Amino acid sequence: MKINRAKYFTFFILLAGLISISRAHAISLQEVVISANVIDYIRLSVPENINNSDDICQNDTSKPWVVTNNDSGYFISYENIESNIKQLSIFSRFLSSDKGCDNQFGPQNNSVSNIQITSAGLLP
Amino acid sequence: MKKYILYTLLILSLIVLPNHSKAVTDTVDLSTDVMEFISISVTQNDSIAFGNLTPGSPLTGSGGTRISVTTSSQFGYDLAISDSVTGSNSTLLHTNVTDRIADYAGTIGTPTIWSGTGLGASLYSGTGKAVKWGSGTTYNDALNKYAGIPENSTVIMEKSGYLANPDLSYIGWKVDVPNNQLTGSYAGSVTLTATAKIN
Repeated sequence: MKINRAKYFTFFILLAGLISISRAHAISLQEVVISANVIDYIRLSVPENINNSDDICQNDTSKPWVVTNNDSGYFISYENIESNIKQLSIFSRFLSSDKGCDNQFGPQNNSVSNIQITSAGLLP
Repeated sequence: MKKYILYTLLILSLIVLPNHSKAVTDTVDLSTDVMEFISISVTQNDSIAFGNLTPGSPLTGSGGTRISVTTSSQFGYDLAISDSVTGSNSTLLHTNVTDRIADYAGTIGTPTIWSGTGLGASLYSGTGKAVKWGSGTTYNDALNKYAGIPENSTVIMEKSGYLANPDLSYIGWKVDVPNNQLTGSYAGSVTLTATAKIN
């Protein structure tokens, strides 16, 4: 029987490789299950002094008034302590860093007000 | 006369019979090749429930995960970790099946003392623990160094030599999220792999 040495050599190398691979895959697996529940977070940070309407816009992403992870959105309310006027601004959407500008929010032009601002996440 | 014949036969039988019970010996050769065996089991905390996570307040769960590896390999074994999740995302997937908590920024090549957010793992104890994992000794030790969990199986510990007994290792977990991480429940799984060394 005539043996092709090149083929025989290739076969031998492949066989050795297969044996090596099968030995290298002596493995065992196990799983670890992980879970976490991210809860509501909201932070309100407003400028100390609001001088004009631009200040009340949250269009500067570097200085957001509200940061929240609430996927139902949040509201901002304020109370003019002197006049006891309350207004409510609602952002009913998930915004990781809101940059909206609500025209109804903030003191009137050319007036000086002492206001108390509140923010809270909305319930689903 | 009969008596002499009887004595003679008796003496002859004493002389001849031992030759009839002559022993012969041979040997049976026995051999076997013990194949490589390896098994891994999580013997403590195979489920890590971090509970409620407030952004900015990292959690470490209630204990570390204990891993037991038994192998017949004369060269030891490698312990690896993976989560099958591409990119910088971790295995922790929101119930909306879209949002994920990110991987911690430290890598298995260079774990770091906890700083920042994401899901990280730390090999805080083990007979083959490398120095790079920090000097912490408990699951929530501040000196632990953490790494994000890679998509593909990556070795976190190499153990050399034959081990007559099960070898124990311990992994601590830590998670934190940025304050814009969508609220809700996240879950996932991490795969630990033990591979016998062949040389």
